[in-house]
Amino acid sequence: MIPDLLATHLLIGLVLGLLLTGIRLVIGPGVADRFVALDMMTVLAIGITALTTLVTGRKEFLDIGLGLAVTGFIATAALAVFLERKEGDQ
Amino acid sequence: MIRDIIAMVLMFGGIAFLLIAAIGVFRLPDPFLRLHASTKAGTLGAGLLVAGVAVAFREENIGFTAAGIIIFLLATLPVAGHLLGRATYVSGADFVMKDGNDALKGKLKRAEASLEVRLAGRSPDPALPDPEKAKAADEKAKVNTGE
Repeated sequence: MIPDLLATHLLIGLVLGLLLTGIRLVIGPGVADRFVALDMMTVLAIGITALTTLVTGRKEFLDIGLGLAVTGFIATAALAVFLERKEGDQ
Repeated sequence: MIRDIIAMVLMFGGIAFLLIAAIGVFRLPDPFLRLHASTKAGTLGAGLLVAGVAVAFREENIGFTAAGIIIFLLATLPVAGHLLGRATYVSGADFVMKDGNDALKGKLKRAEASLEVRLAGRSPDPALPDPEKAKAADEKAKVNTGE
């Protein structure tokens, strides 16, 4: 029972990490920095869904985490292809 | 009781690694070092956290979903990190070289300047007209119709 009560407080740590990564996503000097930050945010979001499972007591939230993992991988792969193929010069 | 302790250790470890990864993404100086922080520490942190939740949550069948997430993360995050790192190098992003020795030089084609520098001096979409030219044409048309 103790982990259930603790999960709400552990969420604060994850939201702090989400905040730091979000700042990097906004100020990141290059396109690559923003993509890396977006990748990291997906992983943090999976952690948040896992803790939400404990807080609410509904195991469906873990399935959402699985969906996020799939979506995040496809998004990162697509963005990497964009970064590799994009030709900026005339 | 012992189950709660194991779950708490796993969850604290996961949160600590995820937080360290986030701090690394925020503070390290170039895209490759940020990728290094997010890929390794992020994979381990998320895996530990999901394992801890699966131990703490007292219900059947949750282990299958949790194992699915952990295996999927272990299989895809390193691949995604490799793809992103290769694309970052090929796109010509600036990075800090400590000994000035680029080991990938000549092995991968690399653009001369980073993507945002190459994109800076031109209109975002080649199909769209250049905004300054469009403005000049607009003024010309106005003069023609006015007279």
